[in-house]
Amino acid sequence: MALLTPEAAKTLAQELHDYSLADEAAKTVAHIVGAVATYSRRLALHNHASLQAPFGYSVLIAEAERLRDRNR
Amino acid sequence: MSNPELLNFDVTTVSEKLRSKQISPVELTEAYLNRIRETEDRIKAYITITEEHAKTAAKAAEREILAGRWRGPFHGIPVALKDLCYTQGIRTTGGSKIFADLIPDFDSTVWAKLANAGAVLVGKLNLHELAAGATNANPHYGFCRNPYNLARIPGGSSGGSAAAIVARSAAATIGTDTGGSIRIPAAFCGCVGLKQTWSRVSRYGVIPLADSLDHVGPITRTVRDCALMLQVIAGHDPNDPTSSREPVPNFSSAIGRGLKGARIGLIKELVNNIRGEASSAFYAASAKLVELGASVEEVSIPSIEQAAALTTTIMVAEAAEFHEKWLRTRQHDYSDDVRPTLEAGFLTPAMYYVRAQKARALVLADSLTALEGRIALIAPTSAIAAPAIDARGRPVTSSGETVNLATEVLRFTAPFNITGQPALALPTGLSSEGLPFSLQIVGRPFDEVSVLRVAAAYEEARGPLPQPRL
Repeated sequence: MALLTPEAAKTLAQELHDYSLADEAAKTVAHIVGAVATYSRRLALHNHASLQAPFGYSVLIAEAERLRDRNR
Repeated sequence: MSNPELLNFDVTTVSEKLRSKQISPVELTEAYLNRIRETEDRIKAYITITEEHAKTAAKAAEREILAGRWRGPFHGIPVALKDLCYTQGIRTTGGSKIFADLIPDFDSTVWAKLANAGAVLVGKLNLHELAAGATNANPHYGFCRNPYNLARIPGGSSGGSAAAIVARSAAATIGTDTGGSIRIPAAFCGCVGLKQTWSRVSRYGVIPLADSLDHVGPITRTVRDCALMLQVIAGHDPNDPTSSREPVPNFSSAIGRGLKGARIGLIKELVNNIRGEASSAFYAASAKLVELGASVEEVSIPSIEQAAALTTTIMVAEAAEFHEKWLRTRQHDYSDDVRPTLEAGFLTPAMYYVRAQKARALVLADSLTALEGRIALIAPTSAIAAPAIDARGRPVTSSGETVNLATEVLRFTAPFNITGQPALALPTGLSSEGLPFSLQIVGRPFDEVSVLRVAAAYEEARGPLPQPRL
């Protein structure tokens, strides 16, 4: 597992997001983010360049129309 | 006076009695409200009981049915909703302190559809805070308990939805499922829970956890009830542009067709590590399908072990995006159990999120390959029966060791949130400790009909499950 220390998690949250993590929470956050990073790096070894992320254009259009309706 | 025997009927049976005016919705609702009063001090399945609302709706249903205006199988049926679902004028807490005072000014589509079908709302159901966990040890509204053993968890996050079905304090309920939150409580409590295909049911007006993984679906006593409830709530909703325009079939159409000649795949990666009674229960269920005329063959979904990590990556990112404004202003109103999970999204790079979204196609491709020539796949819903909880709400074995729900439970359920396939949890029987085990049945996208067919055939062959003594 990629190691992210609780201290590093606290610093990153503060520096990037102006957000204070509590000491206990920082341990859990570091553990989760470390696991996600490890996994994501492993996933990067496979070639997914040809895959599209599943974001639908029809949903984008529908959401734009909903926003227009709301603003009318 | 209410008649407690009415609680013994499933929706399918009682709705015929309502339609033929053998019983009245008022009488039925009173029976369920009495049952809620009898059981709630022990179960804590409900956050809000909507007694007056229910009585008014039951009287209206009675008037309509007497006048010959029967709306369908849910007319006059007492139902309850996971307290993530908006209900106009009725508090919707999300099981949280954050939304403790939220009184929506509109209905979620799922409730609007049930209300339009004549259902009677008896209350809003307990859940793991903000649906972000699987124990339902809710620090704000009380720990929900498993009706089969009050020292055990009901599972979660839709713990109240499953506990109410098994305690017979609601005839049918709605849950939500992001990584297993319908199927896990259905498995631990011993009832039927269906996470239908993603987008089949509108999520409008339902407090999200992770939009691209969230599903809203039925938890019921029987498979046929599950099909009936899905029939009411499925379909495109202009208020949820992600909801599907696929035609809505008759979900009950293959119930009773049997399994002769049906081919079913057994997912080998999900049976490798199951042990003891959980393993025996699963293989006995598989053998029962063979007795019914199906052939059951091992299949492989090689990428399935990646699914739990994909779920975590996507869930923390999407959940943090939704909760950020409250995390910044009301950080301490989140429990210590849930808050770090949401906060992890602050530190999850966008690159990881997009990569995880892309990888979903790999898992679905493997699963569709496994389904080639087969109508469904089977696996356990969980490697364990419901664990106990300690005073802090952590799941523990009877000898006090901490239970890892990620490896024992989510590993079995989360893959089908990643793929969006329909997946149903169905009890197989009770363990030597008197706790339910569960079979999971998985189908092709939008083929809930086959999943319900297999489930109904198995359920009929299994026979009735011994009821908990409450």
